[in-house]
Amino acid sequence: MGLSDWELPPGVVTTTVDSVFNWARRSSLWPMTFGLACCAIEMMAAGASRFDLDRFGMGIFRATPRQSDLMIVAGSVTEKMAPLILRLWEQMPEPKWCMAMGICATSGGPFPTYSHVQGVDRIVPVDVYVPGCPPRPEALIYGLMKLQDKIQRETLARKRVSRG
Amino acid sequence: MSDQEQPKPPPPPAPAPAREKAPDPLAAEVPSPALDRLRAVHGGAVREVRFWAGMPLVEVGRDQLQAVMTFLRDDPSCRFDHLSTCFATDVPERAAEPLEMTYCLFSWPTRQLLAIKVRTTAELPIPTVSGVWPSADWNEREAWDLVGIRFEGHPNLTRILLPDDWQGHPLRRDYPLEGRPGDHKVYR
Repeated sequence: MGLSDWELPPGVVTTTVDSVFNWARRSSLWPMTFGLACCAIEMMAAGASRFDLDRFGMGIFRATPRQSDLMIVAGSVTEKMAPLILRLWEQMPEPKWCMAMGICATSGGPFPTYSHVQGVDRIVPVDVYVPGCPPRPEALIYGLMKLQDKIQRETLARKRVSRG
Repeated sequence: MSDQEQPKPPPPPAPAPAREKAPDPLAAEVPSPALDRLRAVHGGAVREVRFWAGMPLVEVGRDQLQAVMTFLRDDPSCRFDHLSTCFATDVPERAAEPLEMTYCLFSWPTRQLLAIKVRTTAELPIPTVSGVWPSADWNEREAWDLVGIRFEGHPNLTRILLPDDWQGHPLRRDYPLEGRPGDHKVYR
């Protein structure tokens, strides 16, 4: 509040553009409905009434990438699915974030096989990894709050890198 | 003391009689009217018969497969109207014919189970039974996709589970579990 010495009309506060934009972005993350395996059940539980993701302003799961800010890759990714994940990611408008939910999406997990992608970060850049098999809804919510912290530290002055 | 008879050492224990391997109760032979009927009509096609869990496992020749299957579906004492599953296996120890296709049949009218096996190699095709039971279509595509069994006369023998541009058949025993170099594509 460097302007606090000035006399401002009542109801006016000063802040930075970054703070306002980041506050708006992190407070209304719309995830894409992207369940691939059993992790999707926990993601659904996180969105339902008991855990209630709406408390954080991000319970609005969208069925289209064009209205989403966040891709939660919930489950194991097969080689056949990989090009489709990349296409969905590229259809999401900027700014966008990606979470790898569960160890399958993080590193391939218990499937070091010919047909499994060994970590979704081979396809898209991942912001937050949530370990677990599958992670509890609390773990997913904790990961989302970590993502909110990360978004709050971003700045408009630097271009985001969404394609490694 | 010396004239006292020393107690004899106990005789060495008699060697235990060789234990006969108990027959596996699961492999017990069971009466099967369908198998009797198959043997009576297509006896020349039957190569080997085993039993497992009350179900006859019948290996038949490749060339007679379609005739046998059509017979099993249509014969009034068999009437196998339900192909419950079919799957492929690869046994490299059986060098002459390492690949095997197994068809598990069930008959709702006569309440019988029967499994038909066909052995082949990577090159020799086996006749399709998708004309006998339409549900064999996708199962045979899966067997081609993952194990690489060729089916002759199949209407659409293409990959069903793996990506369309995949090379090789990963459920073969000589395929590395973690994939060949190039199976995992690089996207970034």
